[in-house]
Amino acid sequence: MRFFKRKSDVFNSLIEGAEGVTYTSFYHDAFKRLRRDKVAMVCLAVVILIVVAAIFAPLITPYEEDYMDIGNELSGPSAEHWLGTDEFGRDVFTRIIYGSRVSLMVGLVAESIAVAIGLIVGAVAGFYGGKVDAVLSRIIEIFASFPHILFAIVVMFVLGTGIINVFIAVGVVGWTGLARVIRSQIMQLKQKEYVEAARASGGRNMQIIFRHLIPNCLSTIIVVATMNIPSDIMYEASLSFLGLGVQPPQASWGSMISEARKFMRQNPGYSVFPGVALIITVLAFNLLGDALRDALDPRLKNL
Amino acid sequence: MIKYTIKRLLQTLIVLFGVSLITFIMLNIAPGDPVGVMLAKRADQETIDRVRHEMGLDKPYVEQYIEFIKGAVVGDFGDSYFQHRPVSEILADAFSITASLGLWVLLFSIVFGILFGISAAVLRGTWGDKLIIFFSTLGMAMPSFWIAIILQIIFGLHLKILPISGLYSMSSYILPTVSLGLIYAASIARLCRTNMLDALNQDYVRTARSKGVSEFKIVMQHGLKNAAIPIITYIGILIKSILGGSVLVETVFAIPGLGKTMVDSITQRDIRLIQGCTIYIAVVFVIANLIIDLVYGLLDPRIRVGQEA
Amino acid sequence: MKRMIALLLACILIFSLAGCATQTDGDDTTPSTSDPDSGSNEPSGSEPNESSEDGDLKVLKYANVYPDMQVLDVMKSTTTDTIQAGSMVCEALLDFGEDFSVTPLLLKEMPTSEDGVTFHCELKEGVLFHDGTELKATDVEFTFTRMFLPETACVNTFLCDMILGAKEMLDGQTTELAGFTVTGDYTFDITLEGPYAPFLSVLACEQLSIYPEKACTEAGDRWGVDVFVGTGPFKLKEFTPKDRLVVERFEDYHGEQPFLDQIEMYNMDANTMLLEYESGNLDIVGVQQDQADAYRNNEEFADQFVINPLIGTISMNLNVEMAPLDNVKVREAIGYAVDRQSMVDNYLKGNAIATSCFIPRGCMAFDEERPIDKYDPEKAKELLAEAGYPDGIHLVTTISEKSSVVGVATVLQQQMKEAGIEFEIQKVDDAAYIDLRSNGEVQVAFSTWYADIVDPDNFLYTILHSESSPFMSSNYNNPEFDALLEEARVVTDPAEREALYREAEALAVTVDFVNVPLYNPIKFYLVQENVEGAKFLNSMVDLFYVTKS
Repeated sequence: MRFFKRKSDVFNSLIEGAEGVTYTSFYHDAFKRLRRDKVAMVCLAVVILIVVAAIFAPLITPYEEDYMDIGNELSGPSAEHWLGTDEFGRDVFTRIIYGSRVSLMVGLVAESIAVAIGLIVGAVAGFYGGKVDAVLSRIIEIFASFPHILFAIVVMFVLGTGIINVFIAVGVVGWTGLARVIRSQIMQLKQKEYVEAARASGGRNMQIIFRHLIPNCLSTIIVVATMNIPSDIMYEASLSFLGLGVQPPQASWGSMISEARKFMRQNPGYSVFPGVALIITVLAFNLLGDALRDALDPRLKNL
Repeated sequence: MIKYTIKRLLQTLIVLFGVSLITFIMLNIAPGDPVGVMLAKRADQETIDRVRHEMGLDKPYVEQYIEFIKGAVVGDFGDSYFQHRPVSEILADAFSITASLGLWVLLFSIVFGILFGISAAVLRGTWGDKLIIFFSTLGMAMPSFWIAIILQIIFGLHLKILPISGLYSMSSYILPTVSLGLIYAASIARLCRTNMLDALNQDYVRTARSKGVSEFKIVMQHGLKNAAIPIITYIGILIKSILGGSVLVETVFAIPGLGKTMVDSITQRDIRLIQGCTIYIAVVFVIANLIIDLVYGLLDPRIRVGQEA
Repeated sequence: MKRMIALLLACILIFSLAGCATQTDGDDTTPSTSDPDSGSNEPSGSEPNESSEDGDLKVLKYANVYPDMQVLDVMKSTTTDTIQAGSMVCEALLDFGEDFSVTPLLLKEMPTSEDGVTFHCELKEGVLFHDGTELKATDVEFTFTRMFLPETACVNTFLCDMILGAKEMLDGQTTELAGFTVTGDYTFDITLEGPYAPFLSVLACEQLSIYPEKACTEAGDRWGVDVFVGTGPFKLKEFTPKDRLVVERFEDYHGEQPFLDQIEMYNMDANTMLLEYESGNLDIVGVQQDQADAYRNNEEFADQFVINPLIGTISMNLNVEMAPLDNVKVREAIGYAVDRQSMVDNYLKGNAIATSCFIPRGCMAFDEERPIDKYDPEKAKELLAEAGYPDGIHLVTTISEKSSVVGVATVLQQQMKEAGIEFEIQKVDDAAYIDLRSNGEVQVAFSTWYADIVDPDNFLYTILHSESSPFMSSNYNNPEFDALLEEARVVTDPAEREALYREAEALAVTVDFVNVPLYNPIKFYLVQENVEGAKFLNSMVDLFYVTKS
């Protein structure tokens, strides 16, 4: 909890600082640049549309997530079922909309977990250097070279199955890349004068990290996180493919695709539509990530 | 550089130790053991105890781990509980399959990635460029197992021009290579394009151009060189994912590669095989990173080897 | 210079990958040499869609989902996958006929017994193993002894530990099997602890295949890995665990010579193998239940579709020690909260047979008279209210993610909702599931049991007897039920046995309601039109005498 409090302090100080200095702040500029990018705006619109669909799923969808139209299994698209039905007679369109909840939540929640871990580990390693860095760097390497599937399985079984634990399983393995980037960035930043100044004026180490260093990495974090979201969504899809994702009757795009491949012959749409939904979402996040990067920090182009 | 290499290799040992320890702890936290799976439905306590004893699974954890480390130091991970043959042999078999496929994936993604990357950079701003960007972004968004199934249906079932599964002939490598390589090729193409454009906008390139140096030479000499480092970094990541195997694509194409071997061993709790797999993947990962760091230093003298980041 | 080194390093990077790879590629192009001893498991030679490579060999290609085809030694696994693979090479003393009657295979005639305790057996003379040695009584003795030696870690001993002295051997007290006596080169006696009616069926199980003493001892750790020798009509050519098994004709087989030269058996993803089949690259494939409908009702494939009802029951075991299932009324209510018929007709598309009896159709003591329970959510609600749960109950089922019943559970979840039962499904991986279940921690455990031997004992004793029920998470413990089963084991008169089993089954299912039978599964296959003679017996496939035109 303490951490989150500090985080909001960070945002406050950031805003205050920005107001104190100039009205055309860095983020203001970046947003302006972003608005000029047509592709980015389309992607943003798509992302917002998906978010709205996910939040208001019960209002949009014609059926309930687990409603089975018995006797109407695996039917093709019709007026009743716009995208057909699955092997239980459940409406594919409804399930795609509900499935977006899982995919988006995986992207957002899991990535937040990854960011939280990666940020702390990276920042501490970069700031303290020396032995602390050596130890943390090894830990980063260990986690990076560890089979993620094993991690997922253990998380599921220690914590039990369920959607929250899917998020944890995805989040806990996804932080190493960010930790590395943050570490090297902090290493550069801590040489800067304002850090020296903060230190000279008696700032505690943690204060320096959270007040001065991390806010300066914010654009990196935003960019890396946005670009990681698609791979998190894909990772959930592969967990579902292995039967380790969401529990029935809940829908996720990954589980739909992997179930549907058995019914290619009866209802091809059943596997194609969730795939298309997945591709559109991933595409939107990818392109948005690109645009954010260009707007915020072009130096990160190789991420 | 030699000192640096030795230091890195020593660190590697620490990492390997950590990986094996965490794997071991995790396997003992996770419910289930190989004997339970082996006896599947017909468990009775006597049989379970007897088989557990025969396999040495009733020994204290610390003893089991020390035994494992002793063997691992000389490359002996013991026999798989399920396949009843040495883990090293299983890994060698799976590795040869994953590596032979991996080689094609690597070639495919590098060749097509760079080819399209250069084309996009040269054609910058035109429709060709936009088309390449669009398709490469699309390529990055498609899950590989989904592509795999669709390719199987189109080229295997309907057109009947390529084998659907297995790796028994040269042509059977095509579909798995494309399904796995598409996402990597797309990423390389984008990396290549961005970095080349960067270089081609530099003043020295303009100077060269005004001096009448041919466009081809400029692209090759300045553009590609600038793109080399990020591409090589990416290849490091790529090698890890390729050699880790892809369980989904391997399942779909019925290829007994590393990804399937590892996931199966995990769901069966074939502890020795899991340990072998994790150690193996960690070794590959760490060594690939080391080689890449060394290559960096040589390609760009500004990056001094030994000073990370 | 530096650039050269860089290039070199980059090359090393790529060729470190290629190192092994080029070797494999080399193997791919050279014609396959049959050398099972080399330890090489690389796919070599013949590919599924190019049978011509093998010249005019008559090759049969069969695929199914066999992920557990990991070793050939049938003592090392309880799964059909391994047993099917092992049975391609080895034979047991007796054989099952198409109606599950038992016929002699390696024996001259059926074993004789005066008291039902000691069985006199005589081997056929001149039966050769694939390595050329002749089958003798000592080989049989070796096989049985090996099975009970603790260091073998045989997992199928439960089938035959009623042989005299077997338990002492398993405990490590002795290394000699007291109940096995060699009485001549070709004759031997097997003595049991007491009468056990289905013993002859046990001798026909593939898990009791006879191994040659010499080859098996010499092979040591490699037995079942790349050395595997039996007496069957086909001998091992190549085995890649979890991928494929290739066997070729054994010229000196003691029975009728098969038509085929070679059989290839593949483990494949369910979807992939259907694509291969449709492309004509496979001759016989197993079809998963949920995919059956697409082929059964398709004109193109209807003629090639084989329906093979299994002797097995899919049911739910209710854990009587976990509330609210400790209340018999609650257990009774669940029977009314499931609509078997609708599930079979709609979700399963008629590809199964609904049942209210735990003993499967086709097995002794199956109660044909018992009607399929009606779906009656109101009645279920009433019963729940009587039991003190007027607001409904919450149940949790744990299912292995590999299991085929995940879909069935999803359908039941929806049906039970009507009766006020919230049925939560927890998918976990296989190892975790077995662990939870054998610790008795699963509230509702799906039981997918197929007969090892077609006898009610194999169902009732292994699942519901108080000795085994804790491992099935049923924890059923009714001394009356146990007594009936124990009595039925020693009675030899079939009619009397049947009556006892009927009584026991009715007690468990209709009085104590510890098991909710759902349906009898059916296995499906697709067989190409030019292929004939494949025999499908329960969950096994007999491909030895297939002909191809």
